[in-house]
Amino acid sequence: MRHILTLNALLFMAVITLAEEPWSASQRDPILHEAQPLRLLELDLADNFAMLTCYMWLGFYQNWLSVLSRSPCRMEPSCSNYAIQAIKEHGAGIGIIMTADRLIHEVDEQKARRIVRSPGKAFCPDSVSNNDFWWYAP
Amino acid sequence: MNRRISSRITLALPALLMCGLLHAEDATNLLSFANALLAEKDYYRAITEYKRFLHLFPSNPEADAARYAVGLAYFRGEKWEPAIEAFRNVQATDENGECGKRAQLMIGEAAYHSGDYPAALDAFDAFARNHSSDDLSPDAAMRATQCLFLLGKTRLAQAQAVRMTEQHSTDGRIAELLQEMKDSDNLPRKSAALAGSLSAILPGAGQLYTERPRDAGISFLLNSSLIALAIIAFQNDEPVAGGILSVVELSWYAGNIYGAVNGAQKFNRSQRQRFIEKLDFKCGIMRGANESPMPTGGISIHF
Repeated sequence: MRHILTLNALLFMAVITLAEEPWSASQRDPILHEAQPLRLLELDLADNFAMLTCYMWLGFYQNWLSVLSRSPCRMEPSCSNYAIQAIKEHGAGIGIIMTADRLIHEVDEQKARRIVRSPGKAFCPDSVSNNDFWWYAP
Repeated sequence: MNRRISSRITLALPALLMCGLLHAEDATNLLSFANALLAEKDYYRAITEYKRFLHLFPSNPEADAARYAVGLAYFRGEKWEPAIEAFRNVQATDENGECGKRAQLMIGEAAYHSGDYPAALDAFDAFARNHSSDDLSPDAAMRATQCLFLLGKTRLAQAQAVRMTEQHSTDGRIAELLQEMKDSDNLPRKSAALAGSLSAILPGAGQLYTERPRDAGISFLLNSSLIALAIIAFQNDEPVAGGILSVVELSWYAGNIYGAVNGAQKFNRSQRQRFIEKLDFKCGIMRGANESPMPTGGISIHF
């Protein structure tokens, strides 16, 4: 059992390590409110515990794990920035659910949406507003 | 003495004339360069050149046309808000002129393309009201009808289309529009509730229903393997590991349901978007906005 769990943990770490860094904004579908990489010192301590825990994990990932990434993310914003934005806008619960959905729907989203190409880059715009438009109006 | 003065004037006059000619040539060249950039779809630089022209030659007769071209460059670059602002500037400086009139229509177009149908409706209604004898008035009325329809006011839109048929019986687009409005009821749709329920019963089934087979595969594999791991953990008397795995699985499971509902909503949005594009293609107006650089040269409208 321990071997299975260790293997699973290693697999999970490998998946995280292969995820990527953000791209610039798209022209066709501009993401003007792209979340910036997290700086823990800028966090409002009044945020609730769950949000703070999420931010800490995401901060750890962005500052320590994402640097090991080999290929850039084809999604815009990157999944970790998407998670930060979703948690910031909708709280930890919905933010985590939206992040799980984002990680699941990456492949077909790239087929369904137009890939934006700029010199040396190609990315698929998929902002938080593209995934909460049917229930949330800022 | 008089002879000396007259000789100086004789010398100075051609120089002054030359200066004037050079000035005019500069303005023409600058405008021509800006137009070339616009034609090359280099909108950002085109806007800079039009602004340079307006800064250097603010009282040039082509100044309003240049202001209009700034709006057009933003419009073609799909920057709807700056386009609306630029066209409003044209309206402010040339309210009763050709540029101002066209700008009013383009404000409606930019609002229409940005999805702000109420603002577009206002602009088109205002144009049709203020310039009822203009050649583009039927186009404005047509677009206003489209806006009403897209705002969900189908009966009003149909009534307006029927009125337009009586006024402009030769315009085939109105019949097309009426037909499209009828066809809109048959647009393919996916039920968000059904998609969510399917994914709740079997992870990935909702994604399959919303025509996202790869997402369905990922969702199924991810959820089933995590559930299996949690079960194995509990069966091996490792409640902590099982609990952690269950909590992790719960967020993936919820994400899977959310994704199915989201997929259905995206499917419906994309169908509606395609329908709007088809409507624009069949009954569209102002396609000339993508072709003619200056209103003083005449906007060519293609039906």
